[in-house]
Amino acid sequence: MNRTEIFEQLNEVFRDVFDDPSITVTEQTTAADIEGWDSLMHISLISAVEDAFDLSFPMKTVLAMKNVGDMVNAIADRL
Amino acid sequence: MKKHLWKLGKTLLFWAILLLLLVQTNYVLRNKNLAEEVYCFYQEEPNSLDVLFVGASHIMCGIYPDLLEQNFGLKSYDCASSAMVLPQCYYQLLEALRYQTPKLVVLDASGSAFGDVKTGTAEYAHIQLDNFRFSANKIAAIYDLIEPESRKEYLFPLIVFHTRWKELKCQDLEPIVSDTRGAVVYTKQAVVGELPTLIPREDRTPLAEVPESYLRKCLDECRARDIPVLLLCTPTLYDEQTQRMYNSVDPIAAEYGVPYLNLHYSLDEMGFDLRTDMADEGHCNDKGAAKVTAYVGAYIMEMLGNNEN
Amino acid sequence: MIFTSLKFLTFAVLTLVGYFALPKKLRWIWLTALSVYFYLCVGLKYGVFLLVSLLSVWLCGLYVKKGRWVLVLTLLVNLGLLAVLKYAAFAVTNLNRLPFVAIPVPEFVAPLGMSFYTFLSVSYIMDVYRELSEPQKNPLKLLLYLSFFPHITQGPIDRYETLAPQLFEGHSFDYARCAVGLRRALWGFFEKLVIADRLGLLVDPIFAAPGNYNGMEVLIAIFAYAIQIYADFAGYMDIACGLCEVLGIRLTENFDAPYFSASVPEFWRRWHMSLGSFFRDYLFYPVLRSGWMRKLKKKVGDRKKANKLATVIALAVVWTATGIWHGSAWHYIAWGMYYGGLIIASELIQFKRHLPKPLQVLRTFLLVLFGYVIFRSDNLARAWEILVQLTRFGDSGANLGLDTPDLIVACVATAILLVHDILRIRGKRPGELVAALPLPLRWVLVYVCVLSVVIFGVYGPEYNAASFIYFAF
Repeated sequence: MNRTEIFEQLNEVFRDVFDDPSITVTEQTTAADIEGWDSLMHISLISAVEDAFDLSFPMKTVLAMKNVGDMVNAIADRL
Repeated sequence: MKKHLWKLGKTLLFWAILLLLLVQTNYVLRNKNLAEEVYCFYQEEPNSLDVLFVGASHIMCGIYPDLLEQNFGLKSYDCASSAMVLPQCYYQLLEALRYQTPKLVVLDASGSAFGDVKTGTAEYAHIQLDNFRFSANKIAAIYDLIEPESRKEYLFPLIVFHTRWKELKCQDLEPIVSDTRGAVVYTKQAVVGELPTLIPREDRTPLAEVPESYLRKCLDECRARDIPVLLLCTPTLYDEQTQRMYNSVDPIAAEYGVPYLNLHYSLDEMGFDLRTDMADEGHCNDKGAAKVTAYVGAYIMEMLGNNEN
Repeated sequence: MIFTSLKFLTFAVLTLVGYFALPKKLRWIWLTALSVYFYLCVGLKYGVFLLVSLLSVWLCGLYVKKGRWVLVLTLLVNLGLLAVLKYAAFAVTNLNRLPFVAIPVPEFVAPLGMSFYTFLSVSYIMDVYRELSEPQKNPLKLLLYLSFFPHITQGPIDRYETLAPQLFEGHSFDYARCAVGLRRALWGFFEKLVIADRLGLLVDPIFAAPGNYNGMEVLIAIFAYAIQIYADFAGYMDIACGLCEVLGIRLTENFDAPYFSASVPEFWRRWHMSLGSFFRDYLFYPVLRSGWMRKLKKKVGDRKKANKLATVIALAVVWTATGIWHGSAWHYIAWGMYYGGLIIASELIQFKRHLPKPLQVLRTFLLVLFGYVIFRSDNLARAWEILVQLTRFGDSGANLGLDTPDLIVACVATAILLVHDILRIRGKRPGELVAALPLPLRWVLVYVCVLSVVIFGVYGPEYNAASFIYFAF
């Protein structure tokens, strides 16, 4: 999977988790940019991402993610 | 470098102003009740006094420095405050001697009846110590007389008095003044029932440890500075037990070779009438004080005259 | 050592003078020595438990790579010690309520700051395990992190990664930073001595015997308690942070205008923030991402429902733990569950935000006040009594613990606190605003503050010694 494909699939996850079909994430998107993305939602989001890509992130990686770009890197590293 | 000096200067100025504000706040808020006696002492010109009277309220009420000056030309001050026990008298004496070189020191012997305490109640201890100027002597007094837990209340009286902000009056902002040179004038007349029996002078109880040790310190200090001492006990209506304690000073006086004028035994000579000349059990009123001052004044003049010869 | 005491002031001056007098390399040792002294002031025997925690955590850091069991063992030791010392008596007392059970109730005393240094320990070993931090080889340095006197008694709970470098690095003296720090500490003294301790005089008698007061007075007491606990805790934080600021150490913030929150979850993101983030990172996340939670979610099937269930369970665990952490008594647990319930409800039911913001803030504040009734009361029965008293009308004939002049001072001081928080909610930092004022104005403000603390502060023999509310934790 290349980065673009990861982005596409990630977008789907976001749209599903936040129940908003209009969401489009970029490298710089952070929690501040999406309504409802608080620390509680973050974990649900991570869960959904892990399910969608059939991965498991260690805690260190989860806590280190500052924006969607970091998330994509983390996914790419493990695929 | 210049920047550092500027910063240092600014810092010092800041803390100096803060200190000044705190000192002023301390003055305004503290309880100034009965403060004049100790406080106004500092207004006397240094080395101008001939006689220092050091003691408790008996002295303040019994000796009027103004009369002493009028009649005998002796300049004096009542370095006294309420319930000032002998340990406190010792530090009061040291404090006075920082500013004055008197020809005679008169010590109040009534401290002998106060027992083994280093100060009167906290209120009285504050009345004396809060009015001392800040000095090594004040710190020494606090460390000697006050128990450890309470010392900070004397080093920083604001700890105790800051709550007075609710009771401030105009007088709190004004300077403390007095023109009686430490004397307190009572005009009332005590209602006297049966007069106490006067016990023989030899009838005495041994002096308690603390008053004795501090009395000796006072006498030693005066001896070291070559200042003659007179021990004085003003007339009272107290019972025999108290009289015995007053008489306990005799042996010490004899040991040091200082005269002890116990006025209980000189009432007739003074023309003192216990029925009319007392304001209450322990203190003379103005009529009584005039007689005491006159008698003691004459005695002092003779003492000083003899010393010169 | 209580922060608002002459003894501590002297101690703080000594800390600062010594710190900047020593060469940079030795400065952390000075802080360690002072922290040990501070800790042992309460009693030499308590040092033993701190030492056990320190050793276990130091060893864990070095050997955790050998396996997860090292982490688990260390957690058991530390949390176990905390559980036994703090909660054994409570547990046994309640077990004795069962028939045929009569265990002698142990009389353990939990050492000073155990709740806080245990959490610091947990945070450190878990961060090392998660490879977020390098293990600390020097046990003395670890000792400093755990026992650092500004944070050992009431927090804030800083992460090792952010705090440790600041502790071990010697900082240069900075004039401006020193002024900022001292001003912040002064503000802390104002909050504690003028506001919190004064309101305590009103609150304590009413919570002790609510039957003597009418509804209005009880309501005033609850409201006053909300201000008191905030001023007390935030005041303590400001003194600790202010002192650390002078040293060049930045502690994490614990408060951000909490009473202006528009919802209960938001309140807990603004109140005791370091505790909230601790529970989030070390309890909430681990529970949510644990193996058995994954199994449970698979059983449920529907992903959205599974996530919701997982969140609810994790929240329940965290809020029960929060309640227990605050004290070994049923009303603390009830209080934790009260907030747990509110937060779970706000997760499950999406409250439409149709109310105007001020009303949302008011609603949240009222919910918080209700929580305080449970929290502050000696037990649940007394809490119920207070709620009942709220309905009582008529003249009670009782005196409030404060006379009119004191009440006026309390109101004015609270108004100043309100202004401070309004500035915070608008994104301003009052400390920076003061620093930007022209010098004469700045000095006048400081002088007024100092004199206010000295004159209006509740200290000295005229008042009973008041201790910090969170000190007992």
